[in-house]
Amino acid sequence: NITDSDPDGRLTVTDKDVKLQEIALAKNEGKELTKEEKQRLRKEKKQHKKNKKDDKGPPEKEKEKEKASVPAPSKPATQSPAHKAPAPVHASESAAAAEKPAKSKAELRAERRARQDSERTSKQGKKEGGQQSASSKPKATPNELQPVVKRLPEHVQVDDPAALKKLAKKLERQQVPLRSDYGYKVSLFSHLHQYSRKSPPTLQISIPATVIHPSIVRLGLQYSQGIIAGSNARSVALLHTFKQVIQDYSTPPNEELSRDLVNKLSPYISFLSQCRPLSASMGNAIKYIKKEISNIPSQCKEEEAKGKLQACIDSYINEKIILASEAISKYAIEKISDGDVILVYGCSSLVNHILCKAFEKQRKFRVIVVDSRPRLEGREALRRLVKKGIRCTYVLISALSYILPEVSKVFLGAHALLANGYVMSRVGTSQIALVAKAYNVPVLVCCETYKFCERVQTDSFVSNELDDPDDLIVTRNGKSHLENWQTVKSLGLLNLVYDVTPPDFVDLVITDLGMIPCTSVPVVLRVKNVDQ
Amino acid sequence: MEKDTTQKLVEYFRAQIREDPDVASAVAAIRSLLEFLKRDQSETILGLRENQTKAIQRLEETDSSVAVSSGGELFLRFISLTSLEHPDLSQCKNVMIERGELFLKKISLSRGKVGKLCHTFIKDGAKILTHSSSRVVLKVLENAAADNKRFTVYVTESQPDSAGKLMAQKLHNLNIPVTVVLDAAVGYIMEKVDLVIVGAEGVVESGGVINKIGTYQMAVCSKAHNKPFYVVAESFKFVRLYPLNQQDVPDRFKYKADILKTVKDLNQEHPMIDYTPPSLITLLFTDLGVLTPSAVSDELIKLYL
Repeated sequence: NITDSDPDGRLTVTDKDVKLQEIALAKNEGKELTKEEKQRLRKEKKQHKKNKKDDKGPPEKEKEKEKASVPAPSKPATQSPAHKAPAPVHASESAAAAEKPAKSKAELRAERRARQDSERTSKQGKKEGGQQSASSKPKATPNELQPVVKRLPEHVQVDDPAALKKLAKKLERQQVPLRSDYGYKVSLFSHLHQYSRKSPPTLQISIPATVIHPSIVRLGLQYSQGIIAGSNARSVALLHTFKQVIQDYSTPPNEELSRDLVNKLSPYISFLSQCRPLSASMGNAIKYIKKEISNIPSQCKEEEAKGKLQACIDSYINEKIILASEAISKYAIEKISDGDVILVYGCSSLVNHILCKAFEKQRKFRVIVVDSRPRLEGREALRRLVKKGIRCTYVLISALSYILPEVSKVFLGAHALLANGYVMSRVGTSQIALVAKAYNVPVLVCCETYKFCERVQTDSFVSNELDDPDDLIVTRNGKSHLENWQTVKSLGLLNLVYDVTPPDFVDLVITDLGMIPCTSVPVVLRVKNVDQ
Repeated sequence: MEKDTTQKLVEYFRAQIREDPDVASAVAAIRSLLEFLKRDQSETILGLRENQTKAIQRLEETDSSVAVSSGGELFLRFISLTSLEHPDLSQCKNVMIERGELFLKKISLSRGKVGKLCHTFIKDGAKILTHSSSRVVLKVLENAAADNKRFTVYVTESQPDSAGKLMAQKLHNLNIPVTVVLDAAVGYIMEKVDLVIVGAEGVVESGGVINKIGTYQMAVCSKAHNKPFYVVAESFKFVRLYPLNQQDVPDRFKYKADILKTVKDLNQEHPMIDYTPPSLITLLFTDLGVLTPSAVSDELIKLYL
C-alpha cells in the first residue's frame, strides 16, 4: 500500500483516510508508531502545510520568519553577528517553497541542494563560521573550533508562540506529553516555564507506557516532585537510569545500535526536560553518552556493545563525580586551617563531603549553615554535619550580615560554571558572595569539571528555572496567608531556583584539576576539548 | 655521603651568588641544580628526580625566597617533560642535562626581555615610584634611560634591611634623578607620581604577587589614587601557590631561613614579604609577554600541565 504512491507522493483520498485512521488508532492504543507510520504522518503534515502555503502565499512565510528573528535580539550580543546569517537563508528557503507546486519534488530537492551549496561557499568566503545549511542541527560537534550559531533552547522561549508550536509538534512526534504552565508568571520571567507540583506530566501517560521506558517515567516523577534534588544526585540518577535503559534495549532488525539507540534516547530526554528542565551537569552527561554510543563500531555485537556502554557510564560516574570529589577535598583541606569559622549555604553534597573529610583529618573548625525558604535545604546539611560531630550554627539568610564578622571563609557549591567565569548556583548564593566581599571574607567555590558549560550568562533572568509558586504559601497558627493568591489579579508569586554570581566576588574555584581563579574557566574548557 | 654532596651543592650556590651579585637567586639555584645533576651518581631516573627534589628542598632551606622554590620546580618539570624512553641511563641523563642547559640559557635572557617590554610604558617626564631593591626594575629603568627618556624615581627605604638605599645608589650611578622616601610616606607621595613599578619574588596562581613587605600597602594606595600599578617579573617566578589573604602565605616564605630554624615564637618576628591580590595589579610584565592578572593562570596551566 505504501509503495503504491504516485511520483509526487500525493496519495489518493481514500488511501490517505485509511492510513490516517490506522495511525490515529495506533496512537490511541499507546503503541509506538512504526517507522513507516511516522514517515507517513510526516508526509501528511508536509502536504497539509504545502496546501496551506498555496492558499496564503509568501506573506505568511515572511511573518513566520519575523517571529523567528524576534528572539534573536534577546540572545547574548556575542552571537548576534553570527545569527544574522540564518535570516537571509530563511528568505531563500521561502522563495524556493513558493515555486514548489510548479516542479516535481526531486527537481526541487536538487535545486535546493545546489542553492545551499552556493550559499555555503559564499558564506565560507565571508568567514561567517560553521553554518552548513538552514536545517543544521543546533548542537555543534565538540571538535569544531569555529563559532557555530547556537539556537536559543526552547525552555527559555515560553512567551514565543512560534517556539511553543515547534515544541508541541516535536513532543507530539515523539509521543511525549506536553506539560502546561500553571498560574500567573511575573512578567520579567514570563519566558520561562512554571509548573505545578500537583500536576506531574506522568498523569498524561497511559500505563503501561510503551514509548517511554518505565524507569525513565519513575525518574521523571522523582525529578518533578523534588525527591531527587541537587546537581550531582540528578546526574547520577540519570546515568543509572540510562544504564537500565541500555540493558533493556534490543536492536530492531535492519538497524544499527549506534544510530538507533541515540534516536531512542531523544524522547526520554524530552520527557525528562518536561518534568524538570535539565541541569548543565545532566546536559554534559547526556552529550558524553551520545558520543560514546555513536562511537560504537558497527561490527560490534549487541551484548558486547551494551557491556561497553555500561562500563563507560560506570567509569564516567567514578571519574567525574566520585574521584573528582576526592581530589577536590584534598585541595580544599589545604585551605582549611585550625580555628577557622566556615560558612556554607544550603546543601551541597560536595561541600559537605569536604567538611566531613577535613573533620576526619583532625582539623579544628566550626561551621555556620545558612538556610533560606522555601526549600530549607540547609537543614539537611546541618543534619549530616552534626551527625559527624562537627560544631554547627544555623541561621537564616536574613541574618547574614549579623554573623559574617565572625566568619573566616565561605565555601559554596555550584550548579554550573559558565564560560565567562560566572557561577550558577542555588538562589541566594550571589547574595552571600556579595556580602562576604563587602566584609572581605574569602569566597571559595567548589565545582567538578563536568559541571563546566560553554554557555555565557551575565544575569539571572535570561536562563533560570521557576519552581512551583504554591511553595511560598506558608501555614502558621492555622492560617495560610497567600492561599488564594490566584484570585488577586495584581499578585504574582516568584519562586526562583538559580542565580548567577559574577567572578569578582569569587576568590578561588577548587576543581579536580586544581585551584584556579574564576576567570580561568574557559582555559579549562579549552584544555578539556583538546584532551577529547 | 648524602650530606657531603648537598653541602657541596649549598657551597656552590653561595659561591655563585658571591661571584655575581647581579644574578637572580633563582638562576643561581638552577645553575647549582644543573651541576648537581651532572655529578649525580644515581642508577635510575626515579633516583635522579628524587635527588633533585631533595636538592631543591635543601636550597630552599638556605635561601627562603619564593623564586628559588618556583625556579627549582619549573627546572625539574622542564627537564623531565620530555620523552625519556632511551634504554641507556646515561643517554637519558644527557638529554636531561641538555634540556637543563637550554632552560638555563632561556631564563638568563628573561630579564633582558622584560626590560625591553616594559621600558616603552615609561613616558618622557614620568615620575615613577618603586619599592625596595629589585634587579628587574633596575634593568627596566636602565633601558628607559638608555632610550634617552627623562624621568625621576622615588624609592621607598624599605625597612628592616634598608634595601631601598641600595637601589637609590645604583640608580644614582646611572645618572637617574632619585629620591629616597620613608615607607610611611607612600600615601603622601602617591599624588605626585604617575605610575608604580615593582618587582616580584613570586607570582601566584591567582595573578597576585609576593614581594617585599610594604608592596601591598603601596598597591592599595595606588588603587585609591587610580595610578597604574605594574609588576615586572621573569616567568620562572610563577609558583603554584594560591593564598587567599596575608595569613595564607606559608611561613617558610615569610621569614628568613635561619630565623625559621632558631626562633620559637614566630609571632614576635617581622615577616619579610607580603601578598598583593590581583585586583590591585594593573599589568604584569614577563618574558612571556605583557599579561593581565587573570592571564597568569592561563600561562601557569600551560607551564605546569
